[in-house]
Amino acid sequence: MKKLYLPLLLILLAASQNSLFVHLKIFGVIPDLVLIFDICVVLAVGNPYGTITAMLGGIIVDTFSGAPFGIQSIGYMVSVYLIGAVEGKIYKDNIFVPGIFTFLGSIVKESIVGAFLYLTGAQISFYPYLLKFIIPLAIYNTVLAAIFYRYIGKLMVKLSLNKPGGFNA
Amino acid sequence: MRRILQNKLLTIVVVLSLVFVVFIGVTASRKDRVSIFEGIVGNVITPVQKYLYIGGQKISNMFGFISNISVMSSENLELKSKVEELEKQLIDYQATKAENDRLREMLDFKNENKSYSYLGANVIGKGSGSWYDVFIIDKGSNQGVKKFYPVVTSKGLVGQVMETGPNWSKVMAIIDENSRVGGSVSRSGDQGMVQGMPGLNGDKNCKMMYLPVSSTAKPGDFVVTSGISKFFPKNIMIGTIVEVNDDMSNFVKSATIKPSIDFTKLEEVFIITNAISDDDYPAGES
Repeated sequence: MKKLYLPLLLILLAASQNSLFVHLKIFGVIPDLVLIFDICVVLAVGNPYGTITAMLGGIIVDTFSGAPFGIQSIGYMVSVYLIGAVEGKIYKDNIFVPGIFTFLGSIVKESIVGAFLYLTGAQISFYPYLLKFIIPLAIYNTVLAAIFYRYIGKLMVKLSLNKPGGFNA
Repeated sequence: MRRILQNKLLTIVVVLSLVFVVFIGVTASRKDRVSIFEGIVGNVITPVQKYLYIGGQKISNMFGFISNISVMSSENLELKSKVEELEKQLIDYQATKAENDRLREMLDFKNENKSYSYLGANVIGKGSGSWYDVFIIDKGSNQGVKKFYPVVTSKGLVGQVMETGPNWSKVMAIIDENSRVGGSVSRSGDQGMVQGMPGLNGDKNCKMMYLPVSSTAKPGDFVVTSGISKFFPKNIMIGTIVEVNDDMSNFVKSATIKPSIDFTKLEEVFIITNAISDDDYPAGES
């Protein structure tokens, strides 16, 4: 039953991202709450749960993206999988770790999304896309991740999803 | 175990990615990209989004309001100064319009009474003794103004010059208690003496004395100058009767007259310079 909370939470985050945070733009970008959550989950819980959460979050975001279905799902899934692949090798209690992972994860995810959008006919110029969208978004996501990482970790503990030796609430 | 799981997961990720690529290929060519799945998820999320969007809008408005306070403050100051400027312009406009209306009326009056010579003058002060009863005008003996000359506006009789200086004159208004003007009820022709009545400033009337007992004067009748007095030309409007009183002890009637002129708003006047002939002019008053 507890595992149902995560999909519901993802739906709430996706809905917030498309509505509430539309009005809270910084640098002209809306934060990617689903990605922040997915990265925090994979850091707290690890794979495969993190990648599954990311894929689920991607599918939900894809539903509202207006872009060809699957682009967001691949972006979320691959970027979070990569973070999950290395998360076991680092010390995660440092406050900068979730921030750095979120920054890099945001760049990887949006690069994948941008590449697929370009391949499907979207008019995207690389440098403006990078400088005016990806970097500001990565910064915004990083700040939010640094703030909310501990809370998401605690939530994982409450949901009994934290792994031994993982996040310590 | 973890390595095996990782490799297994990698395989799943690769396979799912390929599946998603197929999805992308299929949906990219579709104009209508809403599948059944998307529709179901959309139905679940849309009501939640609606409230979140409204909430976000309110939060955004609040932040926008806070961040705009300094801008609003300077804008407010700017707008206040603009309002003040526009108010001044409006006052100027209204004053100019009122002046224009008065001058036009006076011109009409002058054209309708061509037998007289007029000298225009501005009211530049009001006598301090009896506030509304004596006016100071900006024309005097240097401009040919003499004592007793009648003063009028397009609305009617103002009074007569009581004192002259080189470039100013004092005019006794018809509402002054010392003023005496021969009047006539225009409808019945009954004649009497019009003089000022005591009263509060701005609300003073005249009294027409010595109306015959047989007079049919009634409220609403107009009273004009009778021409009996040699100082005032005939048929200049004095005012309207508002009340008629019987003074049976003296076998006469009297009437209260509301002057046609609002003495609180008097600004421009005409002095009639040829109403009194040299023969009629009192000796020693030139």
